[in-house]
Amino acid sequence: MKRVLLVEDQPDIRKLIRMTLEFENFEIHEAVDGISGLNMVASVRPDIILLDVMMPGELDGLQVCRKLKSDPATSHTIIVLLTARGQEQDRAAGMAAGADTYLVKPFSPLKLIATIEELLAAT
Amino acid sequence: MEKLLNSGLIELFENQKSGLVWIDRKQNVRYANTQAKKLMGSALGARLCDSALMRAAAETMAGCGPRTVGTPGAIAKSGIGARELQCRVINGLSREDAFILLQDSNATDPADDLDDLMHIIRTDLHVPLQRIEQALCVARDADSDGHSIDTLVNQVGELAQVARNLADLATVWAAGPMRSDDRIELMKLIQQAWAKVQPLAIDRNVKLRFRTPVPGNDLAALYGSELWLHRLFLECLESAVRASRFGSTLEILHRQQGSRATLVFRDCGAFASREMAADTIELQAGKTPYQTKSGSLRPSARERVSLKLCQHIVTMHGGQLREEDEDGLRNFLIELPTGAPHNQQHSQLDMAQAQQYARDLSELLARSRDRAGPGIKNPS
Repeated sequence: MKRVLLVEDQPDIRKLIRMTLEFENFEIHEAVDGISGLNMVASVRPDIILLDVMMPGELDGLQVCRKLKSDPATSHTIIVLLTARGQEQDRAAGMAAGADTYLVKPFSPLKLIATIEELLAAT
Repeated sequence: MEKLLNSGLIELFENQKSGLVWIDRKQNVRYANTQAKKLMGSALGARLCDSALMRAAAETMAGCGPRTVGTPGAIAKSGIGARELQCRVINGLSREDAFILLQDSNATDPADDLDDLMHIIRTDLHVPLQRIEQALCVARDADSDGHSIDTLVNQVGELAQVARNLADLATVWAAGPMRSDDRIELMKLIQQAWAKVQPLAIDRNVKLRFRTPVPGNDLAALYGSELWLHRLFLECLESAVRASRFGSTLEILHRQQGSRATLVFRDCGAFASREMAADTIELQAGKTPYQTKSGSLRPSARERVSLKLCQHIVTMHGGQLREEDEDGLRNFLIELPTGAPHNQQHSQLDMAQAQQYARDLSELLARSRDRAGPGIKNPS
């Protein structure tokens, strides 16, 4: 079973994503901010991380992404950035941080599942 | 005594914008909120000592109704004379006590803000306008040379800067809740603002030391308006450089506390009051921090307008500006939320995401049924 780590500060969005992923066969873990997300990566060792960009705290999604992708131990982990910021420059910033792909909120749950399956299949 | 108070009451007192002192019948201080301690130096258990205030308190507790008197405030550590406080004594929770509401008579009110603005228009706009008119006269002269044109260009530039400041202030004054959610790297922002302040810093031989517990590139990102946050740091740095002693080092410390970053301008005198500015001038040994190129003293009204502008910008971003005493050092602090805009529209986004979910739900359920299908087949 593939492990998904969801890093998202909004409880309602976390719940919706969990409900979406529960239709598929994933082991789902949740973190509420960048620091706890980063800490959970070591223990959960997720196959894929769904990472919100804007999260109150010391690390936003872009910084978490950059840290994970620059660490050889976690650089292979697939990262999907989830964000309400849909402008081209935001997308470019996400990809520059090393994200594998970028989904703009509100996103289609079907699209989310399709994206995750596609990325996992490619590994 | 403080421990005996209901925590809700303490919270209520502390959330008062004015200073608040609660006294008993003997006129001993039962509780003084932080602002009151700062303004009057009121200590728990201490007795009121100003005779006018004591008389007003006694009259109020005797049933004569609220009284308003003036009283000298605490002596500031900087040596600035005691401020006059307006004290309004009102009835307490019973006839055995009373509340005293304290207001700094020097604190600005909206009328003062308008006065400051008018002062700036008089000083910062009037003189450049006069100069530009003179420069235009010279430039119109058929024999005008390159020097005259340069002078005109400089004067126009100065005037444009003043007009820009006023226009910015008016814009931010009328601005509603912050809508921008630009992602801003704090280190870059400070570097950019410092680059603009640098000519002034070089002129005053002031250096900047920015201390952070982590490498600058790892500082938490700010979200909001890049334009206004840049302006905030520009104003703060400029004010701090102007107030810094000639040849000194301006020290800024960065602290991250949970989801908020605090920038501490250490003992810099940024946005100093008129009195403080005068004090600072005496310390300069010939170099006056508020002196402009023209040699005139920069009015503290401008500093106050600049401070108002900064306060508006910070408030728009969900932060706060404040001063703090640290072992006799007068620090100026900017506190801002990090990692996300402070007014993130969660509910709208949640709703939109829920609608998306609802749209896809039948498809998700169908998939789920298909997958579960073989497992629930009747074996017969």
